[in-house]
Amino acid sequence: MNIIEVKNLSYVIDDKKILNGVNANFAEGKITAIIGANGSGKSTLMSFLSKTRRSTESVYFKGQDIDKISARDYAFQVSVLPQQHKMTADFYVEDVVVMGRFPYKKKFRDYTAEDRRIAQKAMTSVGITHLARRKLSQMSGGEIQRVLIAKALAQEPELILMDEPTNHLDVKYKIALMKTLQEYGKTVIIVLHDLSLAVQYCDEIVVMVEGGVFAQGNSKKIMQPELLEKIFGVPFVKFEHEGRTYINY
Amino acid sequence: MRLKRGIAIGLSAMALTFGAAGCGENPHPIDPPANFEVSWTEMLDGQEVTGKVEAVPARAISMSQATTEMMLALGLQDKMVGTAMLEEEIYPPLKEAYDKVKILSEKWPSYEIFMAENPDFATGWEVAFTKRGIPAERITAQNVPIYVPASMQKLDADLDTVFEDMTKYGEIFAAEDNAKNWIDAQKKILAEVQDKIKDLPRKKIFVYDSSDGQPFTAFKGYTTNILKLIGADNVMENAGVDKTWAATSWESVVAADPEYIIIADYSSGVRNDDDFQQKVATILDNPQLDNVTAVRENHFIKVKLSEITPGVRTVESLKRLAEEIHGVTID
Amino acid sequence: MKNLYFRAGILAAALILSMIIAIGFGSIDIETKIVAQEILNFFQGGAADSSNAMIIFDIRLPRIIFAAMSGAILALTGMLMQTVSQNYLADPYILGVSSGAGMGAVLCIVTGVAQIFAPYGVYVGAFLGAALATAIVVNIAGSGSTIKLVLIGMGISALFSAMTMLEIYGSKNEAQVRSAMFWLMGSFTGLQWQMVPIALAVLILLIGFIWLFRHELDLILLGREEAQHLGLSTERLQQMIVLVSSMAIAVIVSIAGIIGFIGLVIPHIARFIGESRHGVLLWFTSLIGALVMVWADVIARSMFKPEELPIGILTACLGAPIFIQIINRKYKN
Repeated sequence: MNIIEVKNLSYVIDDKKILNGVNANFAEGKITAIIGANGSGKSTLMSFLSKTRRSTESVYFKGQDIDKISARDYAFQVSVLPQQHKMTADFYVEDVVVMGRFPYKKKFRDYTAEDRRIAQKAMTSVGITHLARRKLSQMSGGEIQRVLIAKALAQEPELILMDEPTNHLDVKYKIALMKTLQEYGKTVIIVLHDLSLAVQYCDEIVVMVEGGVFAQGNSKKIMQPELLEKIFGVPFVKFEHEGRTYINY
Repeated sequence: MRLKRGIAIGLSAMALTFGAAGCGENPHPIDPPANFEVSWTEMLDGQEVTGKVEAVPARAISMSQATTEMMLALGLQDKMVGTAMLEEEIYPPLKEAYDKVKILSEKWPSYEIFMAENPDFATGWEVAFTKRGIPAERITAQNVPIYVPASMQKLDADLDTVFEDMTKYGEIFAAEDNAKNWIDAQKKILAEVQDKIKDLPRKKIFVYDSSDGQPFTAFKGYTTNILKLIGADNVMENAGVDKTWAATSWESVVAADPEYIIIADYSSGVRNDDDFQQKVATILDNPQLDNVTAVRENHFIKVKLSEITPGVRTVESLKRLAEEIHGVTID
Repeated sequence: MKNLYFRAGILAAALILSMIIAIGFGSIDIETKIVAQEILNFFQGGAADSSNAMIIFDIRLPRIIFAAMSGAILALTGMLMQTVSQNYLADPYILGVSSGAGMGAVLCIVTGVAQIFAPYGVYVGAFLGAALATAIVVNIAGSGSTIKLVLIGMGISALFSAMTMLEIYGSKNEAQVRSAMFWLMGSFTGLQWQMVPIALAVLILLIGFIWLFRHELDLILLGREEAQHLGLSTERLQQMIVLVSSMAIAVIVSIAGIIGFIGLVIPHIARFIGESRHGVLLWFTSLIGALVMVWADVIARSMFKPEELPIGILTACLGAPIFIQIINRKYKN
């Protein structure tokens, strides 16, 4: 069962084809990584999946054209973690995380105790409980990233969309994040640069080249040095160590 | 020399008229009838406002010097509780009456000081009743009627407008006789002046207020209209500018070639005329103006702004200006 | 949380105390003893037709109450604009909304359109001008950078000021012209009791709006896309903010004129003393805005006795250096 199906999605800007007839399927309950060189259209594809950019009859969520799904209904099921945060306000961490509960909140009302509890749980799962009463201005980029991940989890979505969430994170937290996502057990679509992380923690891989899907399938099968060399233009090595797979160039 | 003599004559003439009008020692206005009511309409802040008094005001405040002088000329000092915004020396014949009324402020008073006098009538230039002074609606909200003389508002105001305003003050304060006497006296003087100059050729004049590169001058309205009464035609009247006062260019002054330049003197004090001398020097120093008749012949006439703007000094100053422009002696 | 209530309580007490103290200031010196006596008389229902009572209850009191409310309104409007633009340098004055309102009001006076909607013509003109300016700023600058927004705001402010001058030059009536010029300068001179309910209505509307949408406003500060991903229709909220803040600014500009920098500076102080969530910030912003305005008005009334200083000049003198300081601190790197 696919939670998201992309059918022949194209996107042209200033005569330049950013997406060129993308066809891709994202399986429910799986973690799917989107990989590809810079400019291959990964983030643009994500922006269509998250409804940031509008498409008609190209992207289907559980069989329904996402253009026909209201932003609010989509927010119940999908949470989005952007590549960069653009926060102006100096909120307390716990107040940001509980905002993930916004779609569930009754109009004009405050967040309930239940909302706060779920937010608390999300903070625990990314290990930021101790930061609850800290203000965002006092935190590093990596810490803020974890706050936003907690917020996304608090949203209790069916599907999590993440664009380079590991960018600001230390190795320890990168691994912790991937584990958290595995434990969460719902569908995750994640743009990743770190190919080792992709092969270790993701079930499926979508490889993008020049605005199109070059290959798609089980991560172990896809992540072969020969294929990667074609995509990135440099030789790769793949090796096993203590039962883990690593990919390097 | 001529100028000084002009002033001397002007001053003595002022005193004379004043005596003739009998305003200095006025009998008290008679008691108004029971159904006394006077009303008028004003444009204040873009809104038409109706002012009305149902009894003779006894606590009037004048917010501008010209209106202060108009009221004092009718002997209304007993009906006034305050004056404000003295811009020049008070008109000497009214000095005694002026000193009997409290001065609320050198400029415009604050609302609190204004209201503390518990006024029942306010008058002044319209500008006094804008945000610069006290906004009109804040005064009318306290049921204090505002009267702005029409001569200070109409683009086509002339001497008759001032006479109508004086008549209105007379009605409002039940002092119609004083108003009539005053107007008659003014008309008499003007008639004498006009009689004396009726056969003389008309002269072209330019009114010069100040300059910040471009000269600020009178185009239409009161100043231009009263000067016509003494055979002096403002060269800027038909320049196509529908304003009373505004800036023009030296170029158009050269083109118009006035025979006399009337200069507003802002020096303080009667004897001091530094401002006037400076303005004359500026004009003489400007080579562009060398061929203007008034400059060539050194025809500069000093006036105080109050002498050529609506108010009680008009006829007196017209008399002096007629003497200077036409080179005649009246009386 | 308790701490917040405590701080808000102190501010509220300070505001009430300040308003009472402010009654003692003005161009006419009334002894404190007499002021106290008159207030006492008032509560005992005693004779109230003395001239002192008139000054205290009909001149100073409505003015102080209006000043407090307009301080809160301006500060809240500033807060809303900072939120909608996600930019802490926003303020109705800096973004040109006040000039827009001024332009609309002056246009109405000069063309005589004010007559048609009398006596609310000026308000209508001010509202349309303010809404136009806000809409332009929000649409052009959108979610662009801070600098872009401020620069566009300055451009709009300059444009509307120039248009006001144009209207003034085109007018034949000189007194109207002078009046129009001074339209732009904020002043609380001669405020009447009749104007107090108008300001109160606007304040209630503003507080009610912000309270109902406090969580939505918080969300906007996460970034517009973030808010949309959480299911918030930012466009509609944005339109409502433009509408509500234009109305608030229009009323203040129509009654008092342009008063700058309160909207910019107060929310900063409020975030510092309170916190960033709108449900909390709302109350701190209102209280501090009111408090600051009451004292600014006291200074304006008593500095140049027996005349008074237009409050717009005063707030600019105090606020502009703070504005520069904020920019300097924010962009020191």
